[in-house]
Amino acid sequence: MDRKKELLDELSRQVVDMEDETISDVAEEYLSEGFDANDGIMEGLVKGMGEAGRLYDEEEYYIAELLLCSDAMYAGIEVLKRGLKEEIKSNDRIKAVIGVIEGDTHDIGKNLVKIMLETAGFEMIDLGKDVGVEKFVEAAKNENASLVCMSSLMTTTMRSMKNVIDSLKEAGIRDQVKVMIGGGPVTQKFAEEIGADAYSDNAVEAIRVAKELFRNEEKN
Amino acid sequence: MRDIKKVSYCPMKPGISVFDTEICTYMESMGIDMKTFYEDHRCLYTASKKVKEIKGSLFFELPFCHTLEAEALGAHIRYDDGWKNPRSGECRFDNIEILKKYLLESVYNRYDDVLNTSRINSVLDCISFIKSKGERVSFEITGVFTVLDCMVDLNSIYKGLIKDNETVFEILDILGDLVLEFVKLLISRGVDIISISDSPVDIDIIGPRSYKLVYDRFYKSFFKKLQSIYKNTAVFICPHMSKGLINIEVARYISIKEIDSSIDVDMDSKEALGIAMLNINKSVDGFFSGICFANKDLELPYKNIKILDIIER
Repeated sequence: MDRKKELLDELSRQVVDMEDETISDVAEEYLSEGFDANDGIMEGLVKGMGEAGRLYDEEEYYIAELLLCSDAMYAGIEVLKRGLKEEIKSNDRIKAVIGVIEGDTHDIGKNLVKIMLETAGFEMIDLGKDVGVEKFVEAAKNENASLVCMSSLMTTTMRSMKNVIDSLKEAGIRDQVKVMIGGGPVTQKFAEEIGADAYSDNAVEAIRVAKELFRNEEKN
Repeated sequence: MRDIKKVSYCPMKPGISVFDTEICTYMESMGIDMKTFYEDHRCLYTASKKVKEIKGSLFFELPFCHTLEAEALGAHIRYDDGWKNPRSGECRFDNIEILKKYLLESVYNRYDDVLNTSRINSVLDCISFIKSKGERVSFEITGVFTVLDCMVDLNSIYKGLIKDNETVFEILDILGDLVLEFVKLLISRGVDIISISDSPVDIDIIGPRSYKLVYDRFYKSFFKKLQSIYKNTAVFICPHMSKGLINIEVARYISIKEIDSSIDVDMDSKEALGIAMLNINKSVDGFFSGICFANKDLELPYKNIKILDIIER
């Protein structure tokens, strides 16, 4: 078998098998043999994530498995991104920062949205959970992000999303970023009330909503 | 792709839905910081009374958060930014092996010492205080996976369940015993209703295969022990958890009327139905479920209360 294909299949398999500890070695081997890093990501890791999605569709995998597959995918990306050419690193991928708003530690939904958007071609900067207002704004500014994604599962904390939007305005970058929100108690109505650009009901819909945001921008 | 719904965690936990902005504002007006609030049984009483009034509930509800047990186990809990729920900070344990070692060395068979914390003592004192006024108390204990979520990265637990479940179940056995010891303390203070949920292992998250494994290896025994220690206390199981148990065919719903046909489940007074429910508790060899006991936004639809009969024990 073609050596490159062999390694790409192995990267893919390690994602599907949730091998986050050994996938780095395979990725190192792939790079050391001089193969293209971008192919490794797209035809190895992302392809594996696609296979995990198929298993999810067939109810063989559940959310827990998807989260673990994505851990493996990110472990592989961590190695392969070293080999990306500069022009690919700064290509047209839309950069998004994502996090769970301060006061809230429930991050499964956020992680799913991150996986979905990453595999849909967005470049995701994950700020984690319990993220303060200033950190969202700083990250959006420093990363030159085009999208800010926030989630909250709690009525007590969801209101802080408005503070992020207000702070983006104060920082003078509100016009440069789109804001998409979601989470258990969050609704379309709430998104409109606080001035978010979009609301997504779930992780799969987040892809369509996010792409729609930027499609509209292209038209304008 | 199959819809990934808003599963993550149930947003109807008392600590989330009940202790909302209205209560936060009310408590802020008392001018105390959050940690003091949680360590003072009089503050807990005042807040619980307010919640009871707002909900028009039969019960005083406690404890407003899901960090009590984890804090007793040494998890890092944050109180540092005003009126938001106490919550887990940085995970104290890097992986489940380190956590297991800690639990074996510092927690196993030392449950009384572990549970002797200022916050746990304050909720226990609060229960005694409420009971001394002739009122009823419901208490939401924290499911073991929810406790774990405060201590170690949840993905490592999922990974353990899928790839190395012996370690996970050794951990669960210790945590389960700790939670049961806590239940004994609650019962000794006269708690009327104990409710339990464990949303990180919702069946929509881990799937029926892992759910059955968790039931067989942990919850089956946990429920059996739980049933052996409660007497006059009714135990409520979160309907999400019930849904999972029914889905894997180890439990079924039966109506209250099958237990006591004299109960008018359509009676207008929810208080009357609630009290009737408590009265039939002694005849029930199962748990109550069918409604979300913590739901603030809906008037409790008592007529939807069902008995969760555990078939496979």
